[in-house]
Amino acid sequence: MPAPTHQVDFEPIGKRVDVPAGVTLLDAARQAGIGLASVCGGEGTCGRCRVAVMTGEVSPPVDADRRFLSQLELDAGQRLACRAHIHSDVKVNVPKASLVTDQRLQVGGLMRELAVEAAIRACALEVTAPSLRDLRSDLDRVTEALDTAFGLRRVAAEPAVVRQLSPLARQTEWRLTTYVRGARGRDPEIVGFAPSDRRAVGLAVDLGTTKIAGYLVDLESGAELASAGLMNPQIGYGEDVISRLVHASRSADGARELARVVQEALDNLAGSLAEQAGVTRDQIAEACIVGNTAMHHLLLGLPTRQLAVAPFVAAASAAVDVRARDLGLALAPGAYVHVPPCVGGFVGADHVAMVLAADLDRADRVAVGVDIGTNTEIVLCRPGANYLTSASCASGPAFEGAHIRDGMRAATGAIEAVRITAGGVQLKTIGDAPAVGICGSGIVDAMAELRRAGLMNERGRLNRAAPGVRADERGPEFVLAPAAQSGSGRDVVVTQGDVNEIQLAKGAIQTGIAILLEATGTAPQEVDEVIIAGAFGSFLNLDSALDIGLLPRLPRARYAQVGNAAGVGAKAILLSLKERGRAQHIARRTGYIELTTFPGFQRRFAHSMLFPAPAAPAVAPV
Amino acid sequence: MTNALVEAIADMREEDALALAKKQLADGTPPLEILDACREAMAVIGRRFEAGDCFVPELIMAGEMLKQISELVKPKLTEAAQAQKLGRVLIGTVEGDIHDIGKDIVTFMLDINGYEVKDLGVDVPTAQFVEAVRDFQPQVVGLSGFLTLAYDPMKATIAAMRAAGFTGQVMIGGGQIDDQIREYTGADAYGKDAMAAVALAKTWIGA
Repeated sequence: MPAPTHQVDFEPIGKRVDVPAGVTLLDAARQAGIGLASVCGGEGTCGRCRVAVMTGEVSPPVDADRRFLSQLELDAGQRLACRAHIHSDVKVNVPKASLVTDQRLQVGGLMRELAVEAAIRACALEVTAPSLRDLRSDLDRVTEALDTAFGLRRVAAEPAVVRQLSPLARQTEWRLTTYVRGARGRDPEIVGFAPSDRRAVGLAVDLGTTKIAGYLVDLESGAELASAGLMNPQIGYGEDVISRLVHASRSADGARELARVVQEALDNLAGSLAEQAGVTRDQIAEACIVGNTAMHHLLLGLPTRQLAVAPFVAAASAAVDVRARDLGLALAPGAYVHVPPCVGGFVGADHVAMVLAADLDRADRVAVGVDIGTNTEIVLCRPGANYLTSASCASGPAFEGAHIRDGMRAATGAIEAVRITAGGVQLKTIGDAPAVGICGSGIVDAMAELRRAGLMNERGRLNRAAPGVRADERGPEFVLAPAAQSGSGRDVVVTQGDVNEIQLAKGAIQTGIAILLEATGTAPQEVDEVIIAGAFGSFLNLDSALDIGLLPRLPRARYAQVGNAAGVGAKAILLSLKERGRAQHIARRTGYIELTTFPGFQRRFAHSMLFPAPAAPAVAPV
Repeated sequence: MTNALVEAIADMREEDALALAKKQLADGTPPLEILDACREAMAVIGRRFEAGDCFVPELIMAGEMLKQISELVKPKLTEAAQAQKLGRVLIGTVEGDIHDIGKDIVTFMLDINGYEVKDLGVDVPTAQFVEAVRDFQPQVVGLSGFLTLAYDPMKATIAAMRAAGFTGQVMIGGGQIDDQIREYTGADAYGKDAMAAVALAKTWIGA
């Protein structure tokens, strides 16, 4: 018996989606491809995913709702989408403030159009039990049943799977679901068994340098069942990819250690996602993990030394299927992890997934895709033969709040928007809580405002003589929130050192975009669309990003902030063999440019670290 | 107006700096005086960097400007001044590392301080250093490396040059290098910045 489903109607967007009973409104929104804001990833801690339930029944308010919503708002049906479980057909109003982007381009849309064609087929079997007149082995009777009922011939199964079969078959009186991989291919293989009617689910992971995002999806319907985010525990071994590669290349122990910590984190992630979705781990019959080349090598335990030093080559870049258990993941006993191909340098499968999710390989327009992270990947697509060109910049974790004195993740109390006027400083914090620090979008805003207000010059130097700027032995700093108003009891400040960090980060990205444009002979105004991917990019104030020169000055309408496109791409690659093929195609058709050896790199980098003169208001060159 | 040139370089005004240098040359300012101004500009930038009043962009652009100015000025130096080299220094960023901002500035500072400098560039294999030591016969070799992964190639390069009979001095610099790393690599000394490199060359080969 399939679980009952309910229809969710999102207004005023006018999207409807059928979801299993009990999932949250946030899950439903994700499945519908609606970019509902969720800084905390559905943990109930950011208060961003407010919606109003107009009709129908959801679970009662919990503490998290009361933390962010007044009684009046609760009475009016307002709720945090991540805390509200669906108990009937519902109609929900999504306020504009809760959307991460306009409806022009939704990466989630891809998942709706996607024809699910997973590598795994769940085959429900009723197998004849053994008797004294039928002495076939347990496995033989299953494979013969697969042949009879599904026309699957010569299905292989390895001992790990058989170990699961014999006890389970007797427990379920030979009513089994068999997860067959490659059912449409030449070498079908059983990867696991489950009691009948247990659907096959898949795990998609975007393995970032700083953050890991995981999704559990139904391999038949494509529905997202659960999602979660966590920090990459390898951070303890270095914040940037080079220092981790160095650690791994020093000794075999170092490499094993880095592989182990990330594998443990992924295994825990699989466990908590399964729990969240109400499935068992051995229902997870397939996984797909995307990451940059460094994350890819560290996860798979590949040699890293040659990747860390010039000329930065991968040990292996082709797509590969490895047993989940070989990566320390307890999924279905024979489950595989599909790792899509890398492009070159540090441009890895996460980038391929981003290109795929944002349809950048369609080459129907000139487009730039930027996935801002600790390592920022940039791609330029142009209609033409070899139409994708990528580059990777070591932008560092500053935009993710690291290396910034009062930097923090985008969580409650983080300053996410800054305005500086003659009257003083106005702040917007996440959850409207007292300021405790500043997150990536806030620091970009702060840079633009300091420059606009004349408190900082073109070279990023804070003006020591300006009001609001004070200096101690560490140099000048600007007070955003004095201790009396902050949530930490300390002043929340932007220091000269913070500006320096942002200069390095934005300089790297700005240089990368400029070089890609030049290398492909593209004038900036030729660019029809700029796609900003990544969690930081979703909340970035575009005006401020354009003002500080991080992104090219193009009309606002050409920009689309699409959220975690790499994660969406990973899901698509997990759910569809066709998309898997497309990923291969993208990796093959993408050229890679090494930025640091491009002529004039240093000069461009130096100039890209500067802050342009503030733009006159409302100028939109066409 | 040497001070104007110093200010232009230190403030990243590249066009102004080059125009000034050209004008001074045309007006008959002695070439050595212009190089002195460059030296002073570098010292100003060094001090500002320490104080946080300037950052990486100014450093990079100073390197770029100094390179161009020295190319302008050098042909005008008298043959006597050209010939009066104090000694030979071989320099390069070791294998596997492609950082060159610091190395370029060191090269320039040694150059305008009267040393004949041969710069092998970045990602230089050990064998190329050994070959250059044989052909160029430097008194001093400077090895640059920013990454921690550069320490092993530094060590290997020094060992190979010694094995090939090099008896001069070796200095290393870049990134997080300290005395412990100097000892590990077998270098004679390390320098924190371009000024330190010049000072080391002076103590070893004289000024």
